[in-house]
Amino acid sequence: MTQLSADVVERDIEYDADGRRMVGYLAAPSAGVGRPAVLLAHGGAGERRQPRARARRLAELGYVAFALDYHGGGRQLTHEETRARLPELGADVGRIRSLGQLGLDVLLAEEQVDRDRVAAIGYCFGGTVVLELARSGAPLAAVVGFHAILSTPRPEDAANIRGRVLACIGSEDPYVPPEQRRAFEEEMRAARVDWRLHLYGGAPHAFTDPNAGDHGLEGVAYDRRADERSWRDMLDLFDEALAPQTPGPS
Amino acid sequence: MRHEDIGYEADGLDMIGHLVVDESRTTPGPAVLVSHEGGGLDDHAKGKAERLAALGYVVFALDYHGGGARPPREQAMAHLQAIRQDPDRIRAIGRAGLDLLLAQEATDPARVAAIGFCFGGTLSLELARGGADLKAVVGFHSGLSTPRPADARNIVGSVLVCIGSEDPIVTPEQRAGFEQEMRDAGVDWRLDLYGGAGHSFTNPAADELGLAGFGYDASTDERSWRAMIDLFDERLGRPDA
Repeated sequence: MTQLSADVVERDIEYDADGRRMVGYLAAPSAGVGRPAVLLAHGGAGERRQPRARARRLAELGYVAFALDYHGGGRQLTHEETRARLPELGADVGRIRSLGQLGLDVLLAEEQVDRDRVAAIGYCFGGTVVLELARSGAPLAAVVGFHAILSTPRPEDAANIRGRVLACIGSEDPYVPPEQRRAFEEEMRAARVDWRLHLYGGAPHAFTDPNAGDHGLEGVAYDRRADERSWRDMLDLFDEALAPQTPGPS
Repeated sequence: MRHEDIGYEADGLDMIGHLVVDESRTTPGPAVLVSHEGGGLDDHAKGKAERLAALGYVVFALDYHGGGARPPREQAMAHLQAIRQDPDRIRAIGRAGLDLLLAQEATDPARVAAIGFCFGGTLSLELARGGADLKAVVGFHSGLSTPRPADARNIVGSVLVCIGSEDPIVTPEQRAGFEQEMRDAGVDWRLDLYGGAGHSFTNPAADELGLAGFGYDASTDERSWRAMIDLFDERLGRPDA
């Protein structure tokens, strides 16, 4: 455990999942129990600076935050590795859910965590991971997907979602096109989920990642305004869903 | 808190708007123009004005049917029908209300927003398309279509529309058209889509209308209000600042 500041500690946590050695990252308030908690799932390429930075920000606000690892080694994949890994995972929703669940188990094992006040957030394919975790019936009070891939092979499983869902999507995201948004809307409607979709005008894919532009991919870029607004929207949802007086998901 | 009914003329009608302002304010502050639902200026719009004023905003709830009250339903519908396809008339009605808000000493003209409900949202958006200096525009279950989408390039502030996924009036096609309009004009915009919410979700009296697809939704009312305040914090600065 490393003391990051007067109020926040951090440490890497290793665990096994999907036949790999995962290296997750925990950031937590240095004291206090009964705290709300947030599970974070990194983007598809496994870039870790951004989710770690977000976990630290959440810890500063009083949340126990665990950035899980679903690729292994706690590292970013090469372009070729990503191109092989994502379709492989995408084809097996059970595997995705299991990767999410094992990360959640690590977070729930932390003594500081109030198990009735747990949220999961994810970026890009990490958004898929947390949404699938929710579709599996995990006890999450809130789920937020940022530029999250919204499609699923099992839309009927949305009936298992127990918490409140917020999808934060850029209007210009080539990976989350209008047809995908419409299908998500239909899925959430059919399952009577408590859901919202915020559409940020002009925002591309990966709008929360300051390094998104490094890869030179079309339609992939940082957007400070959408980043800050969606972060605020997430905190508003947490205030609502993770407040101490709020009953947990039943 | 000072409440004042203010008479003025617009669209050939005698309008009576409702001003709410905290008299203890000593320096000009942020201000909000509120536009009522299609039925007329009533306790719903006045209640929203009251709530904003309690937070420190200077608020004027304009009137677009005349008389400062809900006219008979047929009369309100006929008036809406008459102005619906005439952006110039709609914008002039909005402008008259905005001018009254700007005339208040307590109003800081550089920190003005417009919000509206149902057709009042349409009116607020048209006022923005007319080029009014509004830092933020928020439409709640507001009709999004316009005969003049190209005018969106005149919008100077940030736009937020809060729409229920089950709203039978603001359909998915209308949302898609709005998205295209905002994109083409390069506006700073957002659309918050609230799952399960119908038309008029901010109005506790909506259920009494007995209209299919209309209904109050308390959590959506609160969430969209929060989204509006977040935008005001960003674009107008806090009232106490």
